Amino acid sequence: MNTYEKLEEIIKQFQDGEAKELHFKTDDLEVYLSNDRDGSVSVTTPVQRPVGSISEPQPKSSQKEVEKPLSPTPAHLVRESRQKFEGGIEVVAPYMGTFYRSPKPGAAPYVEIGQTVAADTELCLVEVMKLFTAVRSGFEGVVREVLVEDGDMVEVGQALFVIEEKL
Amino acid sequence: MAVKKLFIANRGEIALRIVHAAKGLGIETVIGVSEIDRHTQAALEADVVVVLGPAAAASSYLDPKLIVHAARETGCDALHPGYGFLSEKPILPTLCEEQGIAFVGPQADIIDLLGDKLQARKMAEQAGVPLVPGSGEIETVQDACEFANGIGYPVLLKASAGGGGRGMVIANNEAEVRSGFSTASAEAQAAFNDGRLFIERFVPEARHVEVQILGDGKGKVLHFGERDCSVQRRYQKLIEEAPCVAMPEELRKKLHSSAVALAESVNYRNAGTVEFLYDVQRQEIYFIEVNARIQVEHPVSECITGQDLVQWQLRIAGGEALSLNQSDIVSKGHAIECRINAEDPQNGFFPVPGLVTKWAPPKGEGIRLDSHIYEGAAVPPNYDSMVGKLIVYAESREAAIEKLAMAIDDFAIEGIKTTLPLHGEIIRSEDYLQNSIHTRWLEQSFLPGL
Repeated sequence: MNTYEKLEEIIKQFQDGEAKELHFKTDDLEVYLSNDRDGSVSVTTPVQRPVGSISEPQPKSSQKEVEKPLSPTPAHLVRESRQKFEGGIEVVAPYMGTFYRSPKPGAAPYVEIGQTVAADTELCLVEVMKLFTAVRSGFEGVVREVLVEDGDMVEVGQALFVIEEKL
Repeated sequence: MAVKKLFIANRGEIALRIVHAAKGLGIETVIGVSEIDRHTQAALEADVVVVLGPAAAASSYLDPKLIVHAARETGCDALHPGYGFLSEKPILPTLCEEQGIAFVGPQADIIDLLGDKLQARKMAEQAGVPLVPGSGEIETVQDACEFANGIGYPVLLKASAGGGGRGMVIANNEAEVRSGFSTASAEAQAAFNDGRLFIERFVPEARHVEVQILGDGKGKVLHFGERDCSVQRRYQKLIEEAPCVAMPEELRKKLHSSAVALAESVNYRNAGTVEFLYDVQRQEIYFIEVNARIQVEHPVSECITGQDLVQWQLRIAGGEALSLNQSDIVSKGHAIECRINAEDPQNGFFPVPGLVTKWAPPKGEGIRLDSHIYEGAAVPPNYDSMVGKLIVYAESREAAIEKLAMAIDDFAIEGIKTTLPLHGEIIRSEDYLQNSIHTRWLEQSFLPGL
């Protein structure tokens, strides 16, 4: 198991268990988990990386451990992380339009869940009035969630994908 | 048999235009709309409205089976496809024929034939229509140079298997042919696994001219003069006018007769447009393609000839022979059309759907507006960005430009951004006034100078 698989396993056990808080630290990783009142789970990994994606309320004791982002992901690409996949970064629609997962009808989707994508990998198309624009994440990572159905109308800023940033 | 009940398989301004033409002939109208188009002007004015499906065009305007089914179930005896959507898909006339519905356009096999560029080119060649001078396959650099020297520079080295500009090199002299030959061939080999090349004359500053034709399918083909559509951005026309005053009379006659000859060679039925490049330097015309449908810019031809082309479409679909003769069609005056798009020219022409809060078009003699928009109308993000066409007609090009400038200034639109103010700037520019423009003028000279 690599570090992230280990981390996933720990989080899963924490969520399934009854513990309210969990704090552990290794040489290159420090994790603080907390089940706060509304039941949501926060994860922080205070290593040198952008943390713009993490906007869940941080437990007081971990505040000082959160570092300033070195090079924040552009604000329009980042929204609050969701509960379904913690710590992922949401890629949002650049404008209102129709969401297409494939380059043309019947073709294979640009990306699938679990797929590693580069900063410039095309994730989908958003079409407004016959103008098609490819949407890219702008960072390297793994696709964890696809939040919109092919052919759906999306609003500007609406989350389309959750991508786990690769460190 | 004359058309009694017409199904309109389109939306926007052209759907409304067809409703009006049909009403003028006493034809009942049925329009098929998507869910979000229920309250469009064409739906309000048509006799019957059928909701085809959801907003997504693939489930409504682009579903031929659904459309023909709706036409049959509403008892229509004819179907008008408008432009865009399924208008040039052979499946639509094929399905119509199966159901005994008259298709307002050419037969499926003709649409199919004209839709294939190589076949259309071959057809044009057989009809004696001028094509861009070009070679067959060229095997050696020496052959390339000889051919290029023969047709004159600049030339375009093109990949036989090419597309999207790959394997394409412009050469201005023999040295550039020599260096470009291997470059183009290698690029073509890499891109298409086929390094074969041919050479075509490159026309750096061409005008786009096209001829409006009508055929009755009974052997008669007439032309309704030409249109000049050289103000383009990314191959999309922005301004069209008729006639093309930049063209000398002799060449104009050749243009018209070429278009008619091509249409006659297939006994063309209904409305069509034969498009050409006009090489102003060499004073030559070259065939591009045939559009087998009514076109967006048909109103300028209607203005100068006084004919209602859409009504003729419906009459021909009803089996009527063209009662006009070529000598009855006289071009008079000058007409200019601006396509008003819901786009923001200051933001890369990005489309801007939205709600139209003010729509106060100019009125007056010689001003025509073809539009489905009204105050409070929504411009949905699902379809083309064109919200209307402003057309002016006057005795001369100069007078038409003057009238258009005033009409644009008088046109108040709020709620959405449009290309209309840009049109005002284009028609006031020196190059446009001097009529010294070409198809790449807007992108190369005008827009960068703004």
